[in-house]
Amino acid sequence: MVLELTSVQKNYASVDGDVQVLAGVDLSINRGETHALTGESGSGKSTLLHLAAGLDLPDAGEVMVAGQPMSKLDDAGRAGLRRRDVAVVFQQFNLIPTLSVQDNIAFQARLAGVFEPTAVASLSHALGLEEHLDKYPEQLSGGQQQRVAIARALAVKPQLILADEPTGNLDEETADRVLDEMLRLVSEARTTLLLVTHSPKVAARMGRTWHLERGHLS
Amino acid sequence: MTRLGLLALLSHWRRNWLQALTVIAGLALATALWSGVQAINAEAKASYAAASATLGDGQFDMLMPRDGDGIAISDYIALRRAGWQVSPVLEAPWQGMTLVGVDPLTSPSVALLMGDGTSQGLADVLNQAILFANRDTARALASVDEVIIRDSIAPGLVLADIAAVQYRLGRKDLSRLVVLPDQPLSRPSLEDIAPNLQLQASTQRADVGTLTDSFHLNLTAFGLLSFAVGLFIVHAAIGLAFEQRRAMVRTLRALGMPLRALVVLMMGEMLLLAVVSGALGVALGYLIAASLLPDVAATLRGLYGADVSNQLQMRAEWWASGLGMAVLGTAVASGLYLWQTAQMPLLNAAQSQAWGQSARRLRLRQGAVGIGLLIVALALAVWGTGLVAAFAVLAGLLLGGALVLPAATDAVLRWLSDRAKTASGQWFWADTRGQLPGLSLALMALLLALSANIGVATMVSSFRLTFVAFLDQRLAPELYLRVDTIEKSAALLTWTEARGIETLPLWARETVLAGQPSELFGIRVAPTYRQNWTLLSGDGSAWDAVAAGQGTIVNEQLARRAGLSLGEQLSVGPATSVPIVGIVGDYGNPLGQAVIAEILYADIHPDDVALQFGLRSNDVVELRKSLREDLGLSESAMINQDALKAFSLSVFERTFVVTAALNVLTLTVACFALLMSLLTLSDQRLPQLAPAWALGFTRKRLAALELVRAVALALVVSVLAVPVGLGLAWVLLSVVNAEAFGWRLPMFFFPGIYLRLVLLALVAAAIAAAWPAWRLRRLPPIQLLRVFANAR
Repeated sequence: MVLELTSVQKNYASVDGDVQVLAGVDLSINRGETHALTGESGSGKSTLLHLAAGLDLPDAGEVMVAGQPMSKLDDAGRAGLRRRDVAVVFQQFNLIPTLSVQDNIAFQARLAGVFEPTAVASLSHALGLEEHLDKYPEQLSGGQQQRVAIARALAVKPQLILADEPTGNLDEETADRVLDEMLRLVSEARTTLLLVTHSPKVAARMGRTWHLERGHLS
Repeated sequence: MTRLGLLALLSHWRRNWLQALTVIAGLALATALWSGVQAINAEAKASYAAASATLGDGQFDMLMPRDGDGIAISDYIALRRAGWQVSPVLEAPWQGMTLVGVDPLTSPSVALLMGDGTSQGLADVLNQAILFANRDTARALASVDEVIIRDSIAPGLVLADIAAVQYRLGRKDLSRLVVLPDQPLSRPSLEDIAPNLQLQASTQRADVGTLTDSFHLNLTAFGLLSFAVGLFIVHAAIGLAFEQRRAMVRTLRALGMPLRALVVLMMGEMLLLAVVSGALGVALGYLIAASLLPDVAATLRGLYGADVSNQLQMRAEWWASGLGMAVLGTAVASGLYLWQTAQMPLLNAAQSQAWGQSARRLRLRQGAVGIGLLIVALALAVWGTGLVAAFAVLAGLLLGGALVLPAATDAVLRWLSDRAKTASGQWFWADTRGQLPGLSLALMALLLALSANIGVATMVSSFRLTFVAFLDQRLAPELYLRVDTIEKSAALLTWTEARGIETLPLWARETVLAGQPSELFGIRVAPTYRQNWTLLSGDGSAWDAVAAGQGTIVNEQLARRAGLSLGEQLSVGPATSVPIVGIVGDYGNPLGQAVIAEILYADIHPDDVALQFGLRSNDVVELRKSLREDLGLSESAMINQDALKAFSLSVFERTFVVTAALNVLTLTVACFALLMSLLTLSDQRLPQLAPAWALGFTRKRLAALELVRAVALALVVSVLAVPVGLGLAWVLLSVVNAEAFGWRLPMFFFPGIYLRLVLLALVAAAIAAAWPAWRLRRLPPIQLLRVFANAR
């Protein structure tokens, strides 16, 4: 089991009092599987992804990644897990603006100690980034930045990729091409993919689709 | 991981090199001014220490005359016979230096003369004809006599065997006796052997180091002020860098970098910046100190008679202090941001605060603290005493003014915005308000620098007015004469009396009055004194009392240092005391002075004769000619009043050249801060400028508005800087000056100077804005379009 959520609850404080975003979520994902997570805006999809990445902790329940319970790990432990076993593709890309595209793609792989120059080259080629390797993120369009973020995650060859709307900024044709590449690469590496999307078309290409509504998965 | 993290953090500076330059230059300039001042102080203190080692000041107890300035040889012999282990010293001015005679067999200073300790060194010491001095002093005396160089001797001092000194000076007495550390177990009391002498413990005596403490404290305060101005730049630049890197920090953590490792890396990064900038600053400080040291040395010599070496040496105490301040300054500037980073929840960091978000709350808080500080400063000014309180008032005033500035500027901008008639005017003022958070620290630095300039300019100019008026008072007689024999003195008096020339003879000797090293003057009270000397305290009857030998007029320095006031008795000679009937302002002399009538002076010192004279005349040229022809006086004996005044003014100007230089440097640093802030902000302003450009503002107009904005903000700062500067001047003149120099000065206003300084600040602001405006004017439209095209 790569990712396992057991009775996970998460509340947020708001001006109207506490809002329960996740109300006892259970989820199990095995190695090599691809899952889509859908739901309305504000339904808690990103929250679930953040909990799975160890970026946040649940109020109740347990999150286990690669067999390790998040609640038992300190900040450094969770950081280590993110470095080696989990890669996140953020909705806002979160590239390092002062590093070149090439360095951004290689950065997490270097951190994890799994950097392979050939892998970076082939990822750049596969995602159409070859011409932009020496540029900086601010010199790229939103779609190009999104592809850099995807390449960065894939370069780590982690056990689990958590992607938040990874094709949201791409036109339909590019989105299809990028998704093809993503699925090919995760399949080759037997990487697990949990992908948040609003697109039924994208969701349909995953092995299984979960819908998050009123704090519960269905 | 460490290397990667550091590379990522440092990549920010590589891509934002202007910010890096701002931090390094700001910190280097701040450190330079601080370490420059410390270098000067360290050099001066080393010179004082050398003087102390040479003369025994501050190290050994001394026997001094109770009154007068000499100790009889018989007293010395009586003490030695009674078992007192004392060593004689004779000290007097000579060839523009201080000649010090010591006994080579008993003096604790003899080690300074021995050089390398060889037999030749000992032979030199025992050779009565030889003089010893350091390299600079020896060079100055090269044409006078043979001098052996000993670098450990303080500057301006010439040492020799006491017998040789007595012979050179034609004296038979001694100045003081050094009480040696090893004394017999029992010895007769001083009262029994030499009742006319008194023991001064080493700790009770104000040596030159103590006397000049306040001067060095002033310099240190200036250094600290400059450092504070520099720190504002560093704080602004580092703050901006941390704000801009919030998202990066979040990303690094999301990618697996532990928070603790990140914070440690950031601390290392700051330390690296501090050390590099600090080293650069120390090197710059050396250059500043080396160029200012001659003027400081002249000031110290003029004000305190303290000799300071003109040669600057690398001393660990000041360069270490410079580096320490750079590290400390960086820690202060970055500490809050590091703490915020350490406390920042990972996901909240995503809500990267725009520069200046929640700035209004911060501005109001700052304003409230600023008003509080101003109130504290006012309370201290009214009720506080002493130099520490004075500097606390200065700090409160400057910091309070700086903290109030953003809120005050915002209020002015809001007022202007409300009254703007056109859409472009409304946008301009609203946009200026929007930029205020990013510019606040640079504007505060400008306020501090401008206030300091206004304050110090007021002090110096007030001092100049008072000093010139003082010179006119003191140099009222048209001609001064100095003669060297009793016969010439008597002949001159007879000659002037026969011609009805108003003559002001002056009897003078250095002595100790009320425990203070002072000069006692005997004068013939004449209309010139009554008309020209302005008394700070005392009324019209003061001169009558002096003329009758029933009073004395003392200078302000003596009154302040000895805590004397009108009506108190002052001992002016053995068993002779007179009441103080007047206190006079005296701005050109470090020593205490007391003036008594010639009849009283003659009673106390019957052997003294008047050797200085002031003569009143409507025809100075004719008078000089007659004096030359009738009395055979040389031209060099006659001192022209105008020349003396010019000389005095030149000494005065040098006194303040250091202050002026520090002021200019402070203003330069502040302008640099403004330039860097504007440049840094210009890179982030595209999202604000692009819509205005799209709505019809040309790039040329936008660039022009940038210039206008900088000048308008500088104008607002200037308006606030004037009252803060005047407050600063008042504290400097009325509190700090009295504590540091011993006199209080009246304060004058100089609107012309303030206007010039304000114009200078406006020009500086325009220059600072010129580059960013030029860059904006040449900005390719594609960059503005990208604001709309990119999903930012």
